[in-house]
Amino acid sequence: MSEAKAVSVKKTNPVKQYLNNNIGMLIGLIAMCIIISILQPNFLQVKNLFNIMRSISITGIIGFGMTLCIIINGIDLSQGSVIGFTSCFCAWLLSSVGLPFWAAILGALAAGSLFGVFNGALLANTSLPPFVVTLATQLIGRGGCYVITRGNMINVDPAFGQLGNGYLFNVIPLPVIYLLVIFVVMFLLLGKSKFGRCVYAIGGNREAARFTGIKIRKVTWIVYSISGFLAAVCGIISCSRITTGQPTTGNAMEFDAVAACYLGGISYLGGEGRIGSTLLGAIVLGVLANGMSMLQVPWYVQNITKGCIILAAVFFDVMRKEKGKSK
Amino acid sequence: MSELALRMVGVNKVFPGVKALDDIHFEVEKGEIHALIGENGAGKSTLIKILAGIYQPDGGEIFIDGKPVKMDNVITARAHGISVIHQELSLAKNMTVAENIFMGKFPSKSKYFVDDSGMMEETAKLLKLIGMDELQPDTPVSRLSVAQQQMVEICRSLSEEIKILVMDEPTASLATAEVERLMDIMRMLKKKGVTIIFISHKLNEIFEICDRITVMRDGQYIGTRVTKELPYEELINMMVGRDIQNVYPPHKTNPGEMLLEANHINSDRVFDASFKLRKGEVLGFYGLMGAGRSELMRALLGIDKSTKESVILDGKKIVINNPTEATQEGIVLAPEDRKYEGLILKQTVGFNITLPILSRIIKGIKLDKKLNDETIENIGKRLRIKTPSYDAKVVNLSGGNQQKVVLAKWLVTNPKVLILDEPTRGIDVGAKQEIYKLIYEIVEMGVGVILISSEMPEVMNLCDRIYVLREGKITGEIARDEITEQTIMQYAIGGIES
Repeated sequence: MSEAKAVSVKKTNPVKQYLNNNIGMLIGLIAMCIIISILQPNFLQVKNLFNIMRSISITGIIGFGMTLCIIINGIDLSQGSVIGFTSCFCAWLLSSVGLPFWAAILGALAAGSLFGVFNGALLANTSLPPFVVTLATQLIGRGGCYVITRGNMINVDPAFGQLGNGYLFNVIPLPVIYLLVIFVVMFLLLGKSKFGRCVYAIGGNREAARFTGIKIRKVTWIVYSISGFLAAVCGIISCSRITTGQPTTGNAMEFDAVAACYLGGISYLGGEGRIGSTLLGAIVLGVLANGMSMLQVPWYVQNITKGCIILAAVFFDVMRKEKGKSK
Repeated sequence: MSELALRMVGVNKVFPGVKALDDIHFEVEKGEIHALIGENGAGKSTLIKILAGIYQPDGGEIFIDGKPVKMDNVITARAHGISVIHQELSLAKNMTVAENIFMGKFPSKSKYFVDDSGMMEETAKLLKLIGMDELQPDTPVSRLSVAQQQMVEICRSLSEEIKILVMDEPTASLATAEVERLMDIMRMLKKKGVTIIFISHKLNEIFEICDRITVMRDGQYIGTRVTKELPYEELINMMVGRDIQNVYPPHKTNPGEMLLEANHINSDRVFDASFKLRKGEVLGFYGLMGAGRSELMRALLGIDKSTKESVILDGKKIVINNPTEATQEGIVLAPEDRKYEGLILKQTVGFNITLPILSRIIKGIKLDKKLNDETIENIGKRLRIKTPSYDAKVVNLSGGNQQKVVLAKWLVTNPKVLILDEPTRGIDVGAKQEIYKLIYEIVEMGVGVILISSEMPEVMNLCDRIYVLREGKITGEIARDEITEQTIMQYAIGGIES
């Protein structure tokens, strides 16, 4: 035994690691659930819990896209507008053009992805800041909503509503299924694939990634395209939920996505964070909103509470990092 | 002896793992131009930073005009009439010449408003004083050349009551005519009674303008001489003469056939550089700060914009436009600044090591766990990386072990040419020794290693051959048995006769 200290690749239990990384937020979530359920016992009903999950499906799905953007030190402010645009576009394709459901869905997905591709192409090939580029596409997208709908609502075939309002086994709302499926795909993509590692490398140290020969442009481009695509998925769900295309759909949704990311502990400095954390962040936001509604807290107070909680979450995250640094 | 403007006695400064200054004595007479000279890392800048109140010394005293003073911070240093023009200019590019000169001390008539016209007038006066009337006080600094910006820095110093002006390599990026002008200004200031401390690597300038010279080496004070009485050879000896510590493993390389030929590389900072590298050879690149060593490698790898007549690897002509292509050809670079260019600090040791070979270990979403773990463990063991586990974050490792992770990351790609840019900077002696041993182990496998270093003993002891650069050009090639400190330094610094 000449090697005194054999260093090994430790076997880490993924569940343990998840608990470890998110322990603060999990405790907060559980505490919140206990308090709300004491004050309002209906909170814990299965139906209500699924309602919460359905209410966060959109925040969660675009939150996953936002997570990628934030990890590579970017942001996608156009998500809300893309949701609006694709939902109006989908409605328009269904009602005015008269396409079948599948074709309208494909069309809307393509339109949303195009926004993402546009963002990505600009950000990959120029040094424009993501904040500015996606703010511009946000305005373009929102304007586009009004162009398509001429400022009105477009009603669609009520049968289309099944996609967003239906249930699996009469219990699980379909949007929750979409959320979970996309969660698994994104989890594998970010956590297991080569692409995911490149994303972390770029966010962690762009220069080092460049020296290592990682194709930064390509990765940037794909990240924003994914974000656009996921926003399109949410646009279709929104369109189906209300069976109309409305130009105000998805307004400011990107901020909920950012909030979910930060709450979940995605580092605002980039390079760190997991998809699971974003999901947790979205759930916390959902429970908070649902609980406060059940307790009949007015919506403006809800916003104030939300703001304070986000501030507190990021504050503790920063504190924890500074503590880690001084070690 | 005439009066002393500045006396620093027994100054010590320790950085983690390095004794940057060891009992330094430094005396400057009133009204002289005093050169401070030494190799990179000799401690000149640290000494100046202590004088300027940026660093606090761990011991020693500072006397200004014979009175002991304590430089708590930059403001006290300024109050004592000390003004430093740093190597990196510290101007706000978006503001005007006048605003930069009076930043932090804007002239005003009332309490809240800046007296703009007064400031312009004052600025015009200062510019005239140093013969730069062609500059307008209201021009944004971003439109000025580097030389002109330097003049603005000088004006900023002149706008205060200065006794001692420190210039840290002010001529490094200036053209000859601009240097002449700067020297005229220095002479003018000297006539006005300002004491100047001048740091430069360019000996001809020093011999032209300086009254006395102080030499530092490895954080130690070597001596102070009157310029006129100091022959050139003796100065070189003062700069390099040192005992070579016994940290170098015995030299045992065996260079084989030709591996790499780079012909006529040009870029912004590199001029017509050509070099050759053999298999199993350790090839050194030496030069003083800014000589263009790193820039040459960046040009070779296509990181900076460059033109190359030809690059021949293993007898085949290859084309390299970016670092990705270079990596594919087997030419890899462990960059100078491992924290900013080499590693993803937030990630684990394993993550960093496998980053260049992701395609090999991940297929789709399936990680080849066995290959992954084996690769990491093998290279970790071979390089003797000390870490609690390969899942530990790199940021928590010591400098030497971080450097080993950088080496590991590139060795797993089985490179043909490994370029190491300052691989031992900022790590302690023991870790250095480890790295030296590893370099020999690497060349034994037939890899050609290019070693860029500012530490002369390092290149002298490790390398089979050395290229010396100065101002972006290769000025000399020295075979192992001809390597002496004097020859290296002469090529690096340029004779005064040139």
